[in-house]
Amino acid sequence: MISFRNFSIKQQLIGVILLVSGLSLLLAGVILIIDNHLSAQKALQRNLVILAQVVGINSTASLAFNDPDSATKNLAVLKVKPDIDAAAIYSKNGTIFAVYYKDSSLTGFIFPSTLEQVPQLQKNQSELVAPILLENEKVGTLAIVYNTQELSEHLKEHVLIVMIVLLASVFTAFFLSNSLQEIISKPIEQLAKTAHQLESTNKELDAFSYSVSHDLRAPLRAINGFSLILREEYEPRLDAEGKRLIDVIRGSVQKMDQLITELLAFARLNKQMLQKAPLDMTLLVQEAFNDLKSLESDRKITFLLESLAPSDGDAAMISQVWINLLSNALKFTQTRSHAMIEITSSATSTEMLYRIRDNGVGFDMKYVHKLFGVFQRLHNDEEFKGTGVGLAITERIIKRHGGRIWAEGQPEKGATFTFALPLTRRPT
Amino acid sequence: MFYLLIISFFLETIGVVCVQASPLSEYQVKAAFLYNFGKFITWPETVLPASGNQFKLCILGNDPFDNRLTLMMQGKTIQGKPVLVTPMQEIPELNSCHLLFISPSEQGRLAEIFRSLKGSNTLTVGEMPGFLEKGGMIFLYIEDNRVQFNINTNATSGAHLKISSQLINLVKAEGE
Repeated sequence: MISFRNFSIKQQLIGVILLVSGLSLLLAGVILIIDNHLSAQKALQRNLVILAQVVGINSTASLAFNDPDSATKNLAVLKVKPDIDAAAIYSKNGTIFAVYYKDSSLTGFIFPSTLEQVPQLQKNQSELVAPILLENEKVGTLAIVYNTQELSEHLKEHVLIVMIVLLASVFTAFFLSNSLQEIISKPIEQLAKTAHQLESTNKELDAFSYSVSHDLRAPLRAINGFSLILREEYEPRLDAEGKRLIDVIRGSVQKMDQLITELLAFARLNKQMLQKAPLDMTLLVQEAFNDLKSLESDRKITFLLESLAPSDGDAAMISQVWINLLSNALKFTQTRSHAMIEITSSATSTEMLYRIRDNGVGFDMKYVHKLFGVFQRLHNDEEFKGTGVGLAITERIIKRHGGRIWAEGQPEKGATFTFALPLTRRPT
Repeated sequence: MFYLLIISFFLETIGVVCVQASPLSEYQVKAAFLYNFGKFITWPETVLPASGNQFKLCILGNDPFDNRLTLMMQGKTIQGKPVLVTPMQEIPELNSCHLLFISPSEQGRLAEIFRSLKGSNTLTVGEMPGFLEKGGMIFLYIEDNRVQFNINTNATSGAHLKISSQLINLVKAEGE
């Protein structure tokens, strides 16, 4: 099947215009034809009924005085109306009295000799039967067989006219829309082009950062390996300063390795498919907190977790979001003698909000724009360890879920991170 | 001007049906005509007012209808009036009739009859030779085994009787 989407915007626009104008014209044409045909049919019938009445009234004397000759003369008047193929007058007792044939050899129609017999009408023929009354007394019956061929010919003619009009209009619409569509399609095409370019540039960048991170690992592994050899094999020959310097090297190597690992995770995020499923948020948060807390079991931490509203999302990714936000909260509360972390949720009509609040060192709102940037750090490494990738990954995950994330804080007064996930409408 | 209008009658079915062969007798057909003439001829309102009254159908002389006319006209109306079939014998009373059938037995009194009817609005129907020439209005006769008749339109218009154009249209021109 050819999909509509396979065509360019220009073609789609022209197609839509042609379809709409063509269909509306067709509809109007069909209605017009039907109305015309029906009223023509009615007019013909009305005319025939009037004619039948006139002929009937004029034939009363012929019937009353049993004069078929004059009745035949009366019927012959019907030749002024070419629609009438044949006509007959039946007497009171139903036997044929007088007939008129326009051209019986042409139509092949013959009236039966009594009124009871069903006439063998030919194609396109219809019969009109009317009683002939004389002073409210039935003196006979008039039967008129008329041809509807003219009607059907008119119908054909009208159909043809409508088709021609339709074709002409569609052609006109085609040429007009062909030249006018550029007003609409040009900017869209430009936009689509830019979007396409951006997408490919983005992909290239992702691939680039992925391969760079990956390639950085090889020399790093060499530095790590050789510094380890140096530390172990040449230890007796190194003085205290030498050993310290090697430890500094090894510390930096480990930090760089972590950095590369996170960068790779960040780059990989864009390639991963989202696997959305209903999530038990409370469980996810509890698990993440338990894991992180076990590393810092000696700290005094009050963890307030209310029952969170469920939401849809990729379990692994959202779990990563909580780990990042919780470790962030734990990290920046480590200077507090009594850390406090609170997690709440609320819902709006369009999204589900999740909030994590801590009583840590906080931040200055004037740097809030730097919070989610890669390698952007508000605190120096001596104070709080970190690579500056965690929040960038967190934001990327939330955005891929169609949500948003923001932070509020004040120096020394704690920070609040809020992320919102769109509500997914579930079939009820 | 004197018109001789010949109207040929066909009975029941198309084509010529012999009067003798018809299930209807000659006088049954003629009785039906008398009735139908009433539908295509209009009498002046002075003799047939809108309200009341009867349509007086008279038979002068021997009744060729064998007294069946009364039975046939039972319940029927002419000009919207119930039909009163009246046998007549005396000439001076004839002008009260709307339609007068003059029996062949009255052949000898024709001139006297028409003289007494002068100025009246009586439609006269007869079947004796020379009926129209003597002043009669509708003459019934049989020719080619068919009932035919002539109308003397001068006489009918003299009596202020209006003959429907339909009745005239039925008529073939003389010599046809």
